[in-house]
Amino acid sequence: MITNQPGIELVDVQLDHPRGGAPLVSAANMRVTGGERVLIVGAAGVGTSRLVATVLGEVAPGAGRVEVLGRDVSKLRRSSLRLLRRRVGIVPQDLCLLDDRSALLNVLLPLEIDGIPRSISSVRAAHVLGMLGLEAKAALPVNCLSMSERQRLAVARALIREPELLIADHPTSAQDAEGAELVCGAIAAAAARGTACLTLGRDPALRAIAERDGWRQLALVHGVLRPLSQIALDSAALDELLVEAAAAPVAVPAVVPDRFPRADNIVPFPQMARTAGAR
Amino acid sequence: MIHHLGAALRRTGRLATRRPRAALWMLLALSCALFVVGIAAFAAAAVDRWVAAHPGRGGNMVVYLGEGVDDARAGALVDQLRGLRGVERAELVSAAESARRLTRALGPDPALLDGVDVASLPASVEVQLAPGVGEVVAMSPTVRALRGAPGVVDIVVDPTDATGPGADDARITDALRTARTVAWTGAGLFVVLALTIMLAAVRVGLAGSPQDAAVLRLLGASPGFTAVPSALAGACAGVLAALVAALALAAVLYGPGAALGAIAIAVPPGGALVGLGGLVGLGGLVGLVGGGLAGAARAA
Repeated sequence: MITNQPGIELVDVQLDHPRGGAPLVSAANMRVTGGERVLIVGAAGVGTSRLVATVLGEVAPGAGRVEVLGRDVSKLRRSSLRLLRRRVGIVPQDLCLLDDRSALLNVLLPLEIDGIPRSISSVRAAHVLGMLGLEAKAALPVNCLSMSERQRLAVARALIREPELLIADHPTSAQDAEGAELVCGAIAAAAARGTACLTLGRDPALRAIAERDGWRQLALVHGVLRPLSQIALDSAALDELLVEAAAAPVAVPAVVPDRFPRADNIVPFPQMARTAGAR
Repeated sequence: MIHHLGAALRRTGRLATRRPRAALWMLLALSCALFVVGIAAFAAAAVDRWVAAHPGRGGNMVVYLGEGVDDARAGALVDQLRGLRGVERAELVSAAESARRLTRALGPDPALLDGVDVASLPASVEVQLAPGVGEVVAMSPTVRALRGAPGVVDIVVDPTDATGPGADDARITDALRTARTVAWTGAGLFVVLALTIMLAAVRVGLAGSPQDAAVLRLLGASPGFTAVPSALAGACAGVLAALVAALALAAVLYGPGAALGAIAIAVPPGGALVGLGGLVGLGGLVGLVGGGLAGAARAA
């Protein structure tokens, strides 16, 4: 259900490299509206995580305007930014889970912050954990979960608020095919409720599902954010561009540490997409 | 509202028990600091009392009360005496306190107490008189009227002003004033030191990890979300530590083979309760502030 509600809007955004030099991203324009699913593909170090940090208001853009849910994040006060984040579901690349809490308590945390009574939040938590195949793990401490389960837990935590905007940074990087289906299914369910969904990732399973389910796909290559179809029209294989970018000696932004392997999961996209039945 | 409170209490409990070893260390540090505060206050009060009761200060008077005098009436009498001109201090000494003083004065030999019914010792009011007014007070109409008052068994006035007028009087008065000032200044310094240690202990004990801060910032938690439970946890730890410190103080001051038994520490009626309340209040307040600061730091 695609609506006209603004999710994210980037207008001529430039992202500077944290250590100076050439900008990571220049003149990026993008709009994600309610109910839409958008995937941004980019090699390691090209600035996808910095883009997420900019959208969250953690990093100011070098130029341009970033609007989230109709608000210019660079003009928001800290308190307004805090309130805005309560309307946004975030799956950070490093997951940001509380290790001393159980899986259930981690999922309940956003609703606890919102002051939702436990009787209501427990029902919602059970639903969202079930949707991500974690209902049996609810009582376990986070450090007893596998990496893929933790990643799905972070997705569950992002979705429990039924946010207006979902930003998922590499939400399937630790998933097998089944786990990726669960994560993408949860994202699809959120989109069906009208949530604007922006996903960043480069793993083959995610790209295959995005291709299959008709997500709008963009690629961040050489500092330019372009529709994937344009890259195909330029007859340059995306995977070659991704490998090139990953191999280039670009300093990795230190905004969000990347725990997961980077180069290993860059598998030639067309081959994997065909295997998964995509066009 | 109730679920907000419940959620805050749940977070408080979780915060207080999250790192048991750190919580124990924090409790120990708080207890030690409050114990030091208590000892310093007791010592200063003891010096103050000694200075006030010093023979060089002037005469004194003791009003012995009968058995039928209740606390309210005794208190009213003390208030009346305090209002008299020439009276520096009037204090009720309960029957139990009289017995304790007698037992302490006679020493550890129980044979000396043969034939003495310690439980039947009378309550009394101790009155400290200003220098030079002892004889005047002894012959005053007020004291004469007091002798015939119901509930008053006897009045003993010691008008002796040991120093009398002279050069030594001023020197002794100065020395006593200095002793009192030194005692309270020392106690104040100990209290400041203890408060600093307590604040640091609470802040360290309830400090959160950077990971916690990152998660809470990500999810849009307000500073109050962390500061309130943290302050409550600090206050609980402070109160608990105050109770532990009070027990330790009682053991040291009044326990068998008390380390400070040789020092006459007179506690006024209700003084123990006031001291306990003060200690608990101080512990709770410092815990509240320290916890709040720790929580705010975590949120920031």
